[in-house]
Amino acid sequence: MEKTPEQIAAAEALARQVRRCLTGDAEAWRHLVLSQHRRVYGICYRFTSSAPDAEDLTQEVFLKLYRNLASFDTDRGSFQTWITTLTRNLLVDHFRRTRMDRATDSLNASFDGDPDSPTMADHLADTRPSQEKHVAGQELRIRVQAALKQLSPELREAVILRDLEDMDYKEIAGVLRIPEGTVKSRISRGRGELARLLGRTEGQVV
Amino acid sequence: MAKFEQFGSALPGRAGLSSDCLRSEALLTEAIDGTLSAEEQAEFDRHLETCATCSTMLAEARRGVAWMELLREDRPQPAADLVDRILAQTSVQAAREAEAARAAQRAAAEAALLLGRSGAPPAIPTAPAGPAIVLPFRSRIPAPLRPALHTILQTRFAMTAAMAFFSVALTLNLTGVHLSDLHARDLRPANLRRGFYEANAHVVRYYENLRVVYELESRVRDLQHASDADPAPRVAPEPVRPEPNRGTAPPAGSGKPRSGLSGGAESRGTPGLEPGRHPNPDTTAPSTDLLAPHGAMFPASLVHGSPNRQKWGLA
Repeated sequence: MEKTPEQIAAAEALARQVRRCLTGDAEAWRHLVLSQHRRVYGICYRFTSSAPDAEDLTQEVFLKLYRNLASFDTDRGSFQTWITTLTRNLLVDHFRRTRMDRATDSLNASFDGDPDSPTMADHLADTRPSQEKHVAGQELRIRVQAALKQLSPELREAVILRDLEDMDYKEIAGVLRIPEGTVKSRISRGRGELARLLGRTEGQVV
Repeated sequence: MAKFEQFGSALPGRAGLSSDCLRSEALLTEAIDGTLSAEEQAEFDRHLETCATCSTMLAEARRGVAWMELLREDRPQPAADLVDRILAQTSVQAAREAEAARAAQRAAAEAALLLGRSGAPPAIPTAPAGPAIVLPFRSRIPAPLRPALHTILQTRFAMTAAMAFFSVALTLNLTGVHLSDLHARDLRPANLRRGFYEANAHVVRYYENLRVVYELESRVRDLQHASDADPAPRVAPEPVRPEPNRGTAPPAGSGKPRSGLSGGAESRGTPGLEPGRHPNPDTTAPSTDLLAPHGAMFPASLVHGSPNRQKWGLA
């Protein structure tokens, strides 16, 4: 997967912004936060399934980023990869920290939910007006997010970085510090696991 | 793969896959991306025709991609104030770190001056080797005033000034100087000299009085020691000097105070406290009186020897 010229230009602009931040430009730092916080928050939210946790983590990421900005080598790797690595490391810490809480949570909540609710196929075959469709889409997304939460964290992060953040395998391998082959197999397993969790709608989604 | 388990949880295993299946799994993601070469694609397709497990895997993975596509359309939106919170957090941090950096720079500059290397501008690393990064944020103080103001406004300087003020005020107060009573004429040389002698005399008087008190105290202590040590020696001399009439008197060598009392100790009550009455040096004190708790507290020698005996009342 080759980078498009726009992506390269964007990466260069980002690197320039980081260099301006390093010279003490408060405005540049503000721009950097503005341009990156949604992405960081997105990763955190998809991983933790919790808005408050994701916000705390995002704040943590930017504080850490701020302190360590000087150690970022603009020539060596993309800033995008760097900030993703930072985010992911904090997510690992957070995951370990909250292990006990989750252990008790999972006893109370099982994923399958209400057996009378419409199936995925029903939702997808839906031909109602767009407003209702939108609501149905929201419901589906909530279920997908819940399924994502059930994935093991190794598979979850790989799938998030690939399918939501559009990172290439090499970048993901760098962020997760695992070989590219492992990245690919985790992505496949994660996707498969997700599909199995989301129900028996064989052949309907695609 | 165990060494990659950074989350510390076990991955669902996929046992029982043939080498072909493993190969196919490796190609799976790129098959979905559509980036396989023609050969690889052909190999992959061939395997899927014969392997139900792998075709299921492909189907599930495709569905997984479709599900994720749903999530991707809807980026999670953080709370509106998240950016503000981040910026507030980092600018407080910035202010603190910038202050620390400035303090470090000043310290380095001062050290350079002290070491006599003021000729060459001290080389101050702008980015320390550590991970701490400083973004010098804007300051409202104009550039030329900044160094001086920052020096003055520091807490430690304020504390030093306050401490100096208090110690000067306290010293003046203790020495009896009241700034409100001070007039210009007091500062004339003659008046200054007089003031000095007055203060001097005051101090000497004070010291002399103190000395008398201390000497008295030490006498009393000696006497008390003598009384404590008395019973023991009293037993010892008896067989040596069997004089019945002096049996109650303390032996000559019964203690140091004896020599101090050679001039004669006061025997009746506590007359030493009265400045007008000198004890009679000829009076020989009976030992019982000498050992009494308050008897003979003020030996005549001391009273006579003191230049300040007129000032007993002061002590």
